[in-house]
Amino acid sequence: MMRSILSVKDVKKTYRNGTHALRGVSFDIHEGEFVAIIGSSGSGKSTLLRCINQLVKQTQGSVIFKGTAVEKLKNSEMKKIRREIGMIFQHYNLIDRLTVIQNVLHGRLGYMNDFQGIFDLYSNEDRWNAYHILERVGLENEIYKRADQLSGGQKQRVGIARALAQNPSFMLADEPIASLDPVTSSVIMEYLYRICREDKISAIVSLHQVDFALKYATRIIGIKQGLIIFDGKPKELTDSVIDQIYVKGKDELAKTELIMPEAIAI
Amino acid sequence: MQSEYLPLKKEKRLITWMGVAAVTFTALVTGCISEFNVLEAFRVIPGVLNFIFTDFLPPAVKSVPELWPSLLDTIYMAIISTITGAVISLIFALLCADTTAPHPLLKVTVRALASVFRNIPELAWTIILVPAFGIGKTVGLMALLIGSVGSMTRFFTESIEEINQSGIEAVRAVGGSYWLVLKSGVIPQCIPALVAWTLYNLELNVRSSTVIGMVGGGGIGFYILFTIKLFRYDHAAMAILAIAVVVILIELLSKNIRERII
Repeated sequence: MMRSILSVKDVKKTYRNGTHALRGVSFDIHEGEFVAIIGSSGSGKSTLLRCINQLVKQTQGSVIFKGTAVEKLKNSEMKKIRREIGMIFQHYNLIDRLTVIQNVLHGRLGYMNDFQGIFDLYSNEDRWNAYHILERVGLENEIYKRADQLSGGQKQRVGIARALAQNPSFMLADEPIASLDPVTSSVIMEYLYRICREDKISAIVSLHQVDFALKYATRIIGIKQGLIIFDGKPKELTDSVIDQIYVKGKDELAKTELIMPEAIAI
Repeated sequence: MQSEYLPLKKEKRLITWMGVAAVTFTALVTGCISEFNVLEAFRVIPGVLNFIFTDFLPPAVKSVPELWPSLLDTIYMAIISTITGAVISLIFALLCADTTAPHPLLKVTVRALASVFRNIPELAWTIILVPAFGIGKTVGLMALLIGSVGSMTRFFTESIEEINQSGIEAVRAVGGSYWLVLKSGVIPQCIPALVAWTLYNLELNVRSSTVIGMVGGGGIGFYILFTIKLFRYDHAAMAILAIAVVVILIELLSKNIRERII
């Protein structure tokens, strides 16, 4: 058995508006795993990923990353954990008015003090590393383009590059292909998967598309209404389980789309 | 084809007419109380026109060298108060925008302060400050600065609150500290808005520095008051024309700059 890198223990999250996003979630991630989390909108996937790097603080339970309970950390220690965990977002979350390479270099901010960060004092090594990472994702000719001039697929490649610039040992990808067309989705998933394998980065990827989960994941976690209802190998994911994950009650249909954006803003 | 009339919204005739009646009634009542007389307004028009055409026009072009220093003073006052005000306002705005406020108490305090600065007119600030600083440019400058901080803090705060939070989330996720989130996430996104508001404030300051000058704030306003008291209306007309030209030039300049910074 490989070493456990992340341990999520009975995590619950209730937002201020009373939404129970997570109702007690537990699992362990081991080194080298590429885990897909599937579930419908509003099932708690985004909240779960954000509890891992504490963009959202859980109401109860513990998240242990490499032996450290992250919810207890002070700001300076939190920085050291966060910089080890790369994150990729559905909406890319780039700073539109900055160039591609400036966005990638943001991945280094966790390694810099405030003075260096405020005056953009990235080391020459960092700059060249950023350039080489952009070469890896095929964007070396676009480094001075503004982020808002890129296509969706290019933006997500910048997102991946920014996460890689952190030199992470763990990757969180929150619906990385949900805003992309099918062809671009395949390209991005291929990049993400290949890079995580090559750099030995363990990853949790939340997905809507079950076929991508089946193709890439070493393990699949199915989540519904804030609870894990499936955790196993891709081949164990039967059609009836999939149906169970994606079938919704009427109440849930009514509130999902409304509640999630607000939840993320907190 | 259907001949029946298809309304575009639910008709609420009664409420509409009641609204019209209420507005008319209010206008009549307030008009009576303030002794507003339409006929009187029309009656004085010839006199006003006569005054403008015989006394004000043509503007005394020869007075330009004489008013030039005052005009420059006004422009300097407007520029320095805008720039200083912008720097202070940016700090204030970061302290009191919902998305960046470090502490709720600080947020409320700064908001209250900016509100006081903004809601007391610059004219009143000048009158309040004249006893402390004496008549002159310093008073005008202080009044403009206070007014600028008041309004720009509000503009900047709203601009900061409007920006896309997702980019900020990303900077937090890489381990950026509070300061780095501001520097790398917040500021780059709101620069166009900040520049636009600052330029707008510069226009406002040129305009209000004229009025402020008349109550003791120095600059071209003081010059206008001075010439009017000496019945040199053509000199005053030239000064007013000069201000109009400056304001228009600044408007053009700021439009140009705003289009470049998107």
